[in-house]
Amino acid sequence: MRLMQGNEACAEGAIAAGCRFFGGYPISPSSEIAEAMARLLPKNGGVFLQAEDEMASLGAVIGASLGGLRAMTATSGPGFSLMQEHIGYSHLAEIPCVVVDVMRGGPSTGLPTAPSQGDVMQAQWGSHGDRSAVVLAPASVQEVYDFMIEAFRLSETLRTPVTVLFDEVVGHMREGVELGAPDESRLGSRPEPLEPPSEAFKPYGRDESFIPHIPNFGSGYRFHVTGLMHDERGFPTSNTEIVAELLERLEKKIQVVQSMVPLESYQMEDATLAFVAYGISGRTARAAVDLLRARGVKAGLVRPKLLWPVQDELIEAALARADVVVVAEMNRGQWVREVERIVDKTTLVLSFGKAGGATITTDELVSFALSLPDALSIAGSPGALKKEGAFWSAGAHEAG
Amino acid sequence: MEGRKVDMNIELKSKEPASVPVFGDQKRLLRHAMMPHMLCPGCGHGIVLDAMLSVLSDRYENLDKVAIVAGIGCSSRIVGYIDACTLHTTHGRPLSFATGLKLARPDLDVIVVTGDGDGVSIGGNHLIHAARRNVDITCVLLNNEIYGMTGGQAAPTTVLGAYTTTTPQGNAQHSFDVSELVKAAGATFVARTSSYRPQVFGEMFAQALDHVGFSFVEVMTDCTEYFGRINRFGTGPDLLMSQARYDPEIDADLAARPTVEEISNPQPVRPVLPTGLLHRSNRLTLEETLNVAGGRSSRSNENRVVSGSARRDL
Amino acid sequence: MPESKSSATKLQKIVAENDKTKERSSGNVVLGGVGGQGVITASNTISFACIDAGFDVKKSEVHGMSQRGGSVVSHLRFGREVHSVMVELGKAEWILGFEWEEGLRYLGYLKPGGVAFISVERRIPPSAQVDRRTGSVMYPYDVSPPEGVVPIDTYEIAGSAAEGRPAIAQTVLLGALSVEMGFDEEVWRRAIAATVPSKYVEDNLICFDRGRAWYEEIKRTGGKSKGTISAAYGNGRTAGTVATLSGHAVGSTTGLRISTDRGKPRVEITRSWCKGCNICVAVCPERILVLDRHEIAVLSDPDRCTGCGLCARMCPDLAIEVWLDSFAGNGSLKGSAAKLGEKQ
Repeated sequence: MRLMQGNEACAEGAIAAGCRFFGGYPISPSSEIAEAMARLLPKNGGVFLQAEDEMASLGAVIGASLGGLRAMTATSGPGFSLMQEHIGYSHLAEIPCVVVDVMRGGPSTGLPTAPSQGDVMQAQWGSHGDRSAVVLAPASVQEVYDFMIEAFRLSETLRTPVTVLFDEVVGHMREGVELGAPDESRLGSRPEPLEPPSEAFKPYGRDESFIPHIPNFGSGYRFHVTGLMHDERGFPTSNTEIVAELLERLEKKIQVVQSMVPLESYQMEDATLAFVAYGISGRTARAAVDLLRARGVKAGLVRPKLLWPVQDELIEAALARADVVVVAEMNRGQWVREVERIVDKTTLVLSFGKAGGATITTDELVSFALSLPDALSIAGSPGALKKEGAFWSAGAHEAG
Repeated sequence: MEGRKVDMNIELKSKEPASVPVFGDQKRLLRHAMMPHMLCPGCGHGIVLDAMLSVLSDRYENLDKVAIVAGIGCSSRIVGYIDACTLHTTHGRPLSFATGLKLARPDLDVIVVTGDGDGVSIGGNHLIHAARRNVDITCVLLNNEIYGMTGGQAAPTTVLGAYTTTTPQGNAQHSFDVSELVKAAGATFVARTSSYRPQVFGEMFAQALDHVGFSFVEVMTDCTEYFGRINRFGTGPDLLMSQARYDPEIDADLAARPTVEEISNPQPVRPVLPTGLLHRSNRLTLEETLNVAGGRSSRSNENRVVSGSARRDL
Repeated sequence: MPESKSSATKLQKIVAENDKTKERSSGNVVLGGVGGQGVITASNTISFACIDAGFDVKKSEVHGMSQRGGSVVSHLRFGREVHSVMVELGKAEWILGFEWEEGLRYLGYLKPGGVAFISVERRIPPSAQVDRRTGSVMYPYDVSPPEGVVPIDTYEIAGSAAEGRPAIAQTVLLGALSVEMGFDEEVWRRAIAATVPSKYVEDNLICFDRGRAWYEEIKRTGGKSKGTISAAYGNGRTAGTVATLSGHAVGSTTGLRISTDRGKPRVEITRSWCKGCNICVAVCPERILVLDRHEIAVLSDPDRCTGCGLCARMCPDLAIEVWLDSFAGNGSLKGSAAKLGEKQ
């Protein structure tokens, strides 16, 4: 057990996961990840490259990955915006990489050293075009370490970019961490090419798993990699059927992740009031559940560790018994839209959104929950309450 | 493909040659299934592609260990026709992909093919930083002084006064001298050639491949469909012949052309740029300074000031 | 009396014009061809004519990906008021095909009773090549023209006015179309003058006239006089098309009679890769390379080739290879070269 910052644990987790290339550009509050990687990589036979900007960072990462190394970068909001094009490239060209976004307040340069969960939608929708993202959201320093290993496993086995999304508080918080070396099964590996090199070799050939068996550059295969829509040989095409098939395969491949990451359910067996919260807000909500239970409120928590793709079925099942669902997040209400989409239409979904650079407190959530019966009776019906939005917006501020 | 070449060699040695190509068998390195290429008639990029294939064909049995990285644009599309490990990246970023690839796999020969819009405008930052780091890759920049693929818009290499689809009154911006820029940024090998002299390009490209460190070859080529047409420079052959301006001896024999450079001139006058090897020096490469050179220690520039093993001297 | 007669004539004329206008209260044209053939210019000309004739016009253009040599299609609709720019399938009164295959492939847009004027010019776009390794193509050489298709050998009909400039010859199509569309001839002439670069206006007008005269003759004689529809089609097929096909399949090989110290030079041109840029024509020191009517390079006088290889070096399409064959008796050089290899 070692006392360690979230950002340091991120670097340790990456090294444990076999990451041997880091390309990055300094940005608060993620810079400690780059600093730790600059220290750790040379000792472990890896390469650290400080690039000229975020586009170059992720470009170099993808290049190194195509050369066969496990590779990553780390950034924060403004840099994450700049990286979006290459995240899309990595997705379409199916070159594995891990991108860490330590969220700070935005938009624009925003609040460089204050926490936020404002990049949740960007992590899914930031890159143009039809694309499903894989996004993990750790809530503790230990989870940062473990999720980095998981991120590399998912990225390498599925050949897709994986984003690890946490906020400034998790990044800078110091906690005890168990730095256990993962066994082979937790590391995963890239699918090996199915056939020897030949002129007819298809790097993007179809497979039951939807995952292409693309070799690394320099391994005896000659092939073309492009960010243009391509056929199974990797060559550009504008054939609408081939393109539609490619997009379909990519989508199926990503949706597989839903079943690969567990969902945390806490006190949900008999809960009528359910919090849905992720990352640092999940920890606050968990404490609020305990306090509310002490006061006789049947509260519970659902904490997704995988934000994207959304685990529709798991979440729907977990929330099936709840009458009221409060989605607590450090933004003006982003992921709540996914919860609204998933749950039964008779379930009342409320957003507890708090933006501005401060974390949600346990007290805020408890007061909010305790004020619910009154607020609901004043408003008459849950539907009216939701429509008026009085409670919705007052929640965070008045309760605080 | 490699098999074919081997067979041919055996035949050449054991029997009298039945039929030999005048300029080598570079087409063995072509992805025939992709041909004909998508370049416009008369586009100088095709001449550069052929000349690159010639050099590669002389040096490599096959291109298994050669990675060719390109960005976006007409220039960058030529890599798709080369039977190597080819990587067609995002607009302006091929050098960053190539840097990562080279650091991950120092045993690969990494070549970047880029254009003036890709390499100097959107990717200008990556170009100067690649030169600064002296990463051991070879960058070929095809400079046609315009954005061809998007329809003939002005580039940072479009000379003052030139007409493009976004400069209907003549270009109001000054242009870059790309080779000087790269030289100033720290590249250790800088050459400029033209598609009019493919054999000179081939010679420079071959030297650049031999060079340890960031080697840069700028090739002046011509966009017939946009730059040539809009500026009334004529068609493919006319544009190609106009490149003789880089070659004083040949140029002297051709008809005199105006030399005054001004915006009101109906035909923009492109400067006569120096060609040939412009700069060569020795510095430690990024691989050496990062100590990842590994298998490349056998490579060294002649008269190298600091040898690859001198890391302790840093 | 003369006045009333004149009035009656006027009235008749107005009635006739009204009928004509009623008949032509709207119309749809689909133009298809290959980049560089003048499809967009022609659609501009038609648009201009429609506006001149008092119609509202909408026109769309789709350029192919390759900026020259790719597929280009333009939809043009005119009427009193036009809302949508796209022509629905089976709703085009007229189709203009600037290239044989490109014209045929838009036939689905043709209305029953409509007319498709399709040039027998052949430009095989890269997308039509099935197996580009062997150069074999999927191309409707042998398709009999379906009903409603008027194949036009534009280059033949244009004659001297478009010598060496197939793009100008395509104005023959406009001449033929003008007969069917029925605007005043002057409207068309003004439209051409307004949309074609000034130095080409004269030649374009000649081509227009020739196309118009040719098609009027076809209509008058019911396609039975000289230059009938079938004859035009036949002419197009025999004027190099069959030969072109074999050229595409294997690459045209030109044998040589001249000897050099190094061997006999032989120039191989992969026709399906050549884009007709003229560079080889310009750089050949012997001036023996020319473009044929399909704008593809051919060796006009193989005997004079010295085997210098400059054409191969400078060919941007990588379409030319120059070989030096060993001396091996008489007969076909390629055959003899192969035999030489076998025997030894």
